[in-house]
Amino acid sequence: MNPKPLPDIDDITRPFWDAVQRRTLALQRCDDCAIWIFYPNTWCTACFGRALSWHPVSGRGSVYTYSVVHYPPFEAFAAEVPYVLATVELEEGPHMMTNVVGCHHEAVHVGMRVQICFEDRNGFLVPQFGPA
Amino acid sequence: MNVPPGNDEPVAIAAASEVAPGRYPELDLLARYRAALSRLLSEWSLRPADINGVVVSPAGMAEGKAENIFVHEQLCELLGVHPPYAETMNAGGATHALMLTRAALAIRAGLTDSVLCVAAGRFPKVGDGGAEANARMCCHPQFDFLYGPYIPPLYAQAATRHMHEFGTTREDLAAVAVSSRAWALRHPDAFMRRHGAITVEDVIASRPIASPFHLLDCSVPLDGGAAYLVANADMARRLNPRPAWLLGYGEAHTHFNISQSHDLLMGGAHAAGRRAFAMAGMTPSEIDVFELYDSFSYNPLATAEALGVVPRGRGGRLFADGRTAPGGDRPVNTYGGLLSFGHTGDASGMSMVVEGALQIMGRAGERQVTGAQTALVYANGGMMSEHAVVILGSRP
Repeated sequence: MNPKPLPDIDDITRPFWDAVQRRTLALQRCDDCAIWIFYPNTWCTACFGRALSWHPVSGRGSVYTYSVVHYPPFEAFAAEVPYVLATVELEEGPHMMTNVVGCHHEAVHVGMRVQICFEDRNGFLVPQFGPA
Repeated sequence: MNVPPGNDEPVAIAAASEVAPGRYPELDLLARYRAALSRLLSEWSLRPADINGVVVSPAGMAEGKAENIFVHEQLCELLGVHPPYAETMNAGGATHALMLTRAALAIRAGLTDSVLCVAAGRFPKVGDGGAEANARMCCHPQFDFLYGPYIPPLYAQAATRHMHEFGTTREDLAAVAVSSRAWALRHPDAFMRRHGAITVEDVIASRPIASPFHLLDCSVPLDGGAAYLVANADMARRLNPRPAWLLGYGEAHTHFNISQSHDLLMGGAHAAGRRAFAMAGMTPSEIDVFELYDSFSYNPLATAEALGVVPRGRGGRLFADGRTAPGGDRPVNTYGGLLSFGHTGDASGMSMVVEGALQIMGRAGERQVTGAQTALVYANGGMMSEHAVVILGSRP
């Protein structure tokens, strides 16, 4: 059993999580001003337009910043330390909190090119990032 | 109560007291507020008629709950006062500086002539479930929370970014903690005073928590509380021969989840500071004492830059060169900071306001900065989400 948390999905975020289960990263974009939006929303935060549509995106980005966690916050992450908590800047612009996996934690650096990957948490996929 | 008119009316902190931070498991919620009020009433000659307003922060946030949203009513009853203005307000650690601005606004609007500002807090240790409760409160539950965040690695990401952009070093961060400890040794109520002085090497040798932070880069989670009275000129002068006058204030609110702050370099502090300096008609070079929120060693370093005390990228040198420590030309966190005085959770920002006021009043004892005429208090709440600056002075 993977003890780590799962999202409590709602109608606004369901398209995001459905896409992730198909191993795809999808984001909303405003039909009016073409701004990419994250987190999922019901209006555009640049123009308040309501016409938002979902689009698959590259899943590529770079590490904007990170921290190597040595002391776990709670039991679900106790077996993970040291792990990398990072903020990734997607090619499309939005920033996402994530883990960087698939390399030694000392290899992670600001600006590192990364590509989306997926962690299986008891049959539910959660997006993470690894070296591109 | 006699409320004079006037929007530019001078307003001051007339009285300020704080309980020694510690671990007080025997005190329930209301008892912690009572302790803060007891300290104030024992140190200052106040009568019920002097308290014509109450602003209080809710306790329980740092434990992941904030159910006592009626605490202002409880405190009014406890004090036996029936003020024309009272509320419970929350902006995390920034609350306690914003209370001062709200009190000033209420007085200047003619609602009242004085406002008592009160906070009490408890900050559970990471190992006691505090980390999960806090992470659930300050991270998007469907996204950021999934990746094992808690407060240290969230703030640490800001430090990592600063190190990347400006070449700030591990030693620079440690120098902030060293400076704070040196001040704490001069404060009888500072929790870490008993542990004596520390060096840069001690900080780096303490156990790693979340890079780049080690244990001594992190504030000390404790229980505590404080209270201060804001009053119009007549009452302030009657209660205190040397009140701390409010010269300017500013605030800024920038994000909720830290991952959505595309500026991890305290842009909100910059905006709040610019507003406060403009109101006061002052520049950073005219400030004698700085009390800068320091949940982690990184914060005061970046805040000093954001406020214009030093140019961008020079915050590390400010601390590494000893300019912020006792005897330095830019004293920072003269009470020991949250790093060494103690972090009282829901009451944390109080420590900066109380110390800034005591420095202006000339009542800071062994740690008094000689001739301090002006003090700047900066407090932030959330994950560097809410930023408040107040500037205090010895003359209105």
